[in-house]
Amino acid sequence: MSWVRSRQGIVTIVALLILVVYPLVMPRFWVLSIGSYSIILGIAALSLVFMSGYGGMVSLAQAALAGFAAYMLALATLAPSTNATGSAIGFGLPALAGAVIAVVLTTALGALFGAISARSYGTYFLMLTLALAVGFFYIVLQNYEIFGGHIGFAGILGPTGQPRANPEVFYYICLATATAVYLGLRYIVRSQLGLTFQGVRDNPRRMAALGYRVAAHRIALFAIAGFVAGLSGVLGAWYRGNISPGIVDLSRTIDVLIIAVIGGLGYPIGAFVGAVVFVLMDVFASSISLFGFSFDERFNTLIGVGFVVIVLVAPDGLVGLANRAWQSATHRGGGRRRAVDPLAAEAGLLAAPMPATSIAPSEPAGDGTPSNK
Amino acid sequence: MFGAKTGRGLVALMFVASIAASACGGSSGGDKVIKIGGLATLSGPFAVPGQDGFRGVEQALAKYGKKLASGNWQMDGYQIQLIKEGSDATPAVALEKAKKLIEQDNVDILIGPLSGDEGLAVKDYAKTVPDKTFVNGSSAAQDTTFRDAAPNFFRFSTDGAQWMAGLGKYAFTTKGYKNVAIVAEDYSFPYTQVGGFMYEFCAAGGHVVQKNWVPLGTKDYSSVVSNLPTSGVDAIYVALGGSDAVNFFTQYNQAGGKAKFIGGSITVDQSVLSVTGSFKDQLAGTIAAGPTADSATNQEWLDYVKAYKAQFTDGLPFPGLFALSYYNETIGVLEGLKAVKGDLSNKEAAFMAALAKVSFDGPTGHVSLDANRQAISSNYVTEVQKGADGNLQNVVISKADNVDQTLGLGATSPFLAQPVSRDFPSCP
Repeated sequence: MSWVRSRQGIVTIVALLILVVYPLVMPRFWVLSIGSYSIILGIAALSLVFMSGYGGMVSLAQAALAGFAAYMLALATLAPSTNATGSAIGFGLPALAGAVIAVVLTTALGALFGAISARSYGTYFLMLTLALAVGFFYIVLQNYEIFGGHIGFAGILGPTGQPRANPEVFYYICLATATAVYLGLRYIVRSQLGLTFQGVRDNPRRMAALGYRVAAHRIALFAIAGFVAGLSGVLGAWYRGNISPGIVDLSRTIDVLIIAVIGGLGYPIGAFVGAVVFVLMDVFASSISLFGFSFDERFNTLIGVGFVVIVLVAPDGLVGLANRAWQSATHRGGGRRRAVDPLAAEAGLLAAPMPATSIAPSEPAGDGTPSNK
Repeated sequence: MFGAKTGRGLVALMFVASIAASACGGSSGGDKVIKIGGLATLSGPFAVPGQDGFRGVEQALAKYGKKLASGNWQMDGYQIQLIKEGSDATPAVALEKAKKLIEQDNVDILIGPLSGDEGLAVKDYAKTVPDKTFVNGSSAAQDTTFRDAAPNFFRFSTDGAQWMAGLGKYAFTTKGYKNVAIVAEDYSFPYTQVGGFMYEFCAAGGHVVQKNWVPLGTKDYSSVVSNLPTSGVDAIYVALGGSDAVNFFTQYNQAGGKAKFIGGSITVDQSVLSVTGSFKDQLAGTIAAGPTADSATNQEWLDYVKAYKAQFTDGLPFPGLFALSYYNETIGVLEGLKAVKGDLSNKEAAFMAALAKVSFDGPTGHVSLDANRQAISSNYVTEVQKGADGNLQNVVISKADNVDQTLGLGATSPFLAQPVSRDFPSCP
């Protein structure tokens, strides 16, 4: 097994090296609009993968949480000015202070969302978080006094000014954040708290019987995911330089889920793989021509077909697909299948991959008594 | 394993195809290739107008050049390659697509976007790329050019307030409407339209008693319909576009609403009039204003319509406002390129200087630019009438030439002291 582990080690090191060298050799568009944007979307999807993989909660509120962080950042850092109705908005704080405030508030909102939805499961949880996301969209769309309505806010500057000015620096900020979040979540799931999350995921009733407060743990999980989504929202606001309700609308909400599903809902690294594939398809679909037919006015069709193909050939995501290929290459004839993410498997964490089953981890059918009182 | 291998092969193929397509897009022929990026909405509420906008671009290119087998257009001494991108009417997506066209596809000139807030976002982006030329598509917010203009952003189409020239006076004096309620989408373009209408209507002595702002893309208008006053208003001013307008008229009609309508410029555009529905009878008699009129009889317009119908067999019955705007913008670009013989050297400085001086006779009238690189052009007041073939069309009531961005009020008028917004101007 040490041979396998060292191969994995080499793969990890090579991947990290590529990620570090990437902005130094690629043009600006690829550094910002492909690289940095993929990482930002990946962090948002990671918050969803974390919730679904370790809490069995497929949330549609992650884009709204990220958008909330972006709005809070805008309000905290933009220079005080009067809005359309004449009341002053904006506190003019430095970028980093605004980021801290935004992420803290988003964590709190995540906890609030958790408190609202933690006692529902499966499809009901999905619908509740969808309602929260759509509700947030309409609040920012129609509220002009605080959120600026349809046009939102422009002129949000990061700690390094506009990303265009220093694309490499902005890319490294995103990469460092993503790495920290990834390692941080790995640390959490290896801790006692993380094991409790998984216990709550697998059998909330038994955990309640053992004396764990199921709802509290689910709320905590939501808050942590809110923290991660908040980081994504702050980076996204710096990346775009503006925030408007279009960032938290229904299609953006579903994009996060699509990214997680492409990568594989059970695999943390899949969030980033999915984000890269999603961004590449989104950007280049309109440039593709097949058999002399240009998709420039029909690029959405191509994107849709692409996603259907991915889901068909890789039901547990691209990372699941790669894992199966890896297994069959390294355990030829052994018949042992460990369809899990290598890093998590190494840590001995995931007993089984989560996808498909985690979409609707309904309460165990039983005697009908409430489980988490 | 078969499925997995095919899947990976397909994904890899798509990437290769995409990179190949973006890396070596059409470089046939000896002439140098000038890349023009086209940006319009191809999904969301403005998908149909977006398609019509691209027809306008292609019609202008076909007028000035010949399409080659490579897909490029052959001009006099240079070729033009058109790269299209679609947005969804949100500023964020328009900005991403504009960045893609400028930074990845390396277009020399960007034509677009279609919608108001998109235009404001792209104008702000244009300031950060001073060596590229940005030409508007059909976005018509006032402040895309009026306040805080970008020196490399040009607009050969008129803005939403200019599109209202003549309507407020006509509604008040000829139609006798004294009190009007407003239903409009809640973003910069309808603010501009409502503002342009109210500049004249309020100045003439009319009152706007109620304003209903609805989100772009609203499907359910029942709360708006029930909120509209049933008495005390002479007409309802409706500034909704595309599928939004169809939804509102249908639901208002089904709820038994009887009021007369005043339309914004895209409310009674061809893309709305060509949809079938029971509300169509109620639309007859609606007055509106805008830069196009289906039934205009000047020769330039007739030639333009004939060329449109010949080139696009799947097009709308008449080229709409969006087709015309994109057409005029593209004509402006091609005239500018002609003046400098396709020379875009020195950060496009000579081209931009020539572009600012371009003026031409478009299908609806003379087009020239003011100091903010904003078009001064003609405008029509129209009334919806049923044609001989049963199709609804806009009949010309009057035409104003050389309408500037202040509607003749002058930049110091109190009506122009503030940007148009939900609450300004106001005359309750």
